[in-house]
Amino acid sequence: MSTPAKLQIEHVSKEFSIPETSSKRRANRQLLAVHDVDVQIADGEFLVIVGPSGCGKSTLLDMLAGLTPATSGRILIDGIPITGPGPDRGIVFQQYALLPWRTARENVEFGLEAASVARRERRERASEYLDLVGLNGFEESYPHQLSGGMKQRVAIARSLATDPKLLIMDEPFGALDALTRDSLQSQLARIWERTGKTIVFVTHAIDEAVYLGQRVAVMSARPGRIKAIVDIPLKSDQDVADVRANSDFGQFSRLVWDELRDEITALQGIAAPRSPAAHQARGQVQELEEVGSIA
Amino acid sequence: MPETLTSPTVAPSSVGGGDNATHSRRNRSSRLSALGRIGGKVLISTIGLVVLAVLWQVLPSQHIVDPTFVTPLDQVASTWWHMLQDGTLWSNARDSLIRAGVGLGAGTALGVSLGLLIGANRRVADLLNPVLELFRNTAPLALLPVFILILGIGQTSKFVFIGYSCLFPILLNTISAVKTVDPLLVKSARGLGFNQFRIFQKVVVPASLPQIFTGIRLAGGYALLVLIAAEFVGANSGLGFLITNSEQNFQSPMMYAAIITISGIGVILNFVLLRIERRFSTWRVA
Repeated sequence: MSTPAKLQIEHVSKEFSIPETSSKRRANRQLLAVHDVDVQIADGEFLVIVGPSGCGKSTLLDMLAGLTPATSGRILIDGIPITGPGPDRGIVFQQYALLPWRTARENVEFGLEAASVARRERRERASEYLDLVGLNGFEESYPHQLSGGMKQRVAIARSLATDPKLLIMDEPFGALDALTRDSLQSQLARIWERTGKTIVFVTHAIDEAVYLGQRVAVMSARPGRIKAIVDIPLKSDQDVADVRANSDFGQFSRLVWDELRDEITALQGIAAPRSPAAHQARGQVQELEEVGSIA
Repeated sequence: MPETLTSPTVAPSSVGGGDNATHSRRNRSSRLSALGRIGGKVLISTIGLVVLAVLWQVLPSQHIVDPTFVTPLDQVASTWWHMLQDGTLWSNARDSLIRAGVGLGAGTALGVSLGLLIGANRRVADLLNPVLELFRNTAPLALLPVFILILGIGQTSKFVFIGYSCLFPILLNTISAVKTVDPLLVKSARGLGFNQFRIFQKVVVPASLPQIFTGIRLAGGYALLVLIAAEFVGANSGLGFLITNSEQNFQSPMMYAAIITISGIGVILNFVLLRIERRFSTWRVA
């Protein structure tokens, strides 16, 4: 890689011990959630991770966020190992995680309070970032007065406001309706272009992965490891808005889908259709999400 | 305020939103009917009180019940007015309110701080839970004699007893509030880099406030309840004292006047606490 890696994930594994209640002796069963994940992410790169439910995606993100330590291996940002959570990484959750007693502006300021930014500057930065996500005029609205898409935009503004080195997004659009999701995807693509942030984005949806990612990492079913990384060279030569219309879009979706199919089959116990046509990709995503809800 | 179902077809004018000209006639009629509905509601809720008042007046004055024991309402009212003017009502109510207020205040301070501590700290919880469970299931009034034995019948024993009785609803609500804080909010705050103390201060406490205030409102009711009981047993002032004292001296009108006063205070206190609770819970509507 020509540019030095922003984020280095070096042979990271995570094991949980689960207390075995059935056995008479107090033996803990070891559960390997993430197995030997090794990825380098360049500065300003948009990496998307897809994988079946329970494959350890969220555990991997928790380790990136510093919320839980890796059992082995290490994670470095700008060459410095992660030891705990910090405002240099912003996290966006599927369920927004906004403080319901704070207004949109105060929620954005919340992240800045952690970074010990002075009060006046907090206010300015908050309106600046709410502006960036297109929420000017809603500064004083409470979360319960906002739609799901708007709440997620507040959450994105909050995690960007601290100017983090890395933006971690855990299925951020998973709880939104299809139209809102489309619009937020293009907004995120625009924000990414404008801010040049390094983003690690987890999703269930293949079309979302191909649309947003420069690279799509496919994770295997448990124990989760990176099975394949698919390059998506669609962004560089054209406007992001047209990516979906590109005839290669379907081809890349199929590539990702082919990598994923075996993992879902393993999870489901039944055979998934082989090599679906590109236009069926959306249907497969649907199926994938159903698997997720069963698991 | 819960809407009555008198005319479900017409939306309240404030909800309509689109105030254009074609709707103005409908708006006016809906406003009128809204007015009518509020009037109807007031009328219905007044009927119960009026019936009670009429019965209270007629039954004793017609000697259907003995007026020596149940004083007719008009006499109670004039006695109440008289007591208000000569200051007996005020001086006794003031003493009672001070006791209830100090007790509720002490119970709140202790209940909230102990509750936050127990809710946040597993070890403290394990230590105190069995004790709390025991005391929680002991009716506070059963302990009144104990408080009097140890602390006498002065002000202190009343403050402590009322405080003790207020403690439990506040404590239990605070513990449950802290334990049910959305874990995602805590996780998100941790991810932002807040330390334990600041997470507690910025996430756990604000998230718990609505339920803590529910506890305080319940405790307000408890405070008045045990206040009267405590004043029955050992006091030479206060509304509870006034009630038993009048009863023992066959001054039924005074007794009823004191009872009406305590009801009034109860209603007002509950109203005020409910208002405060709502203020802290506006964000909970979602």
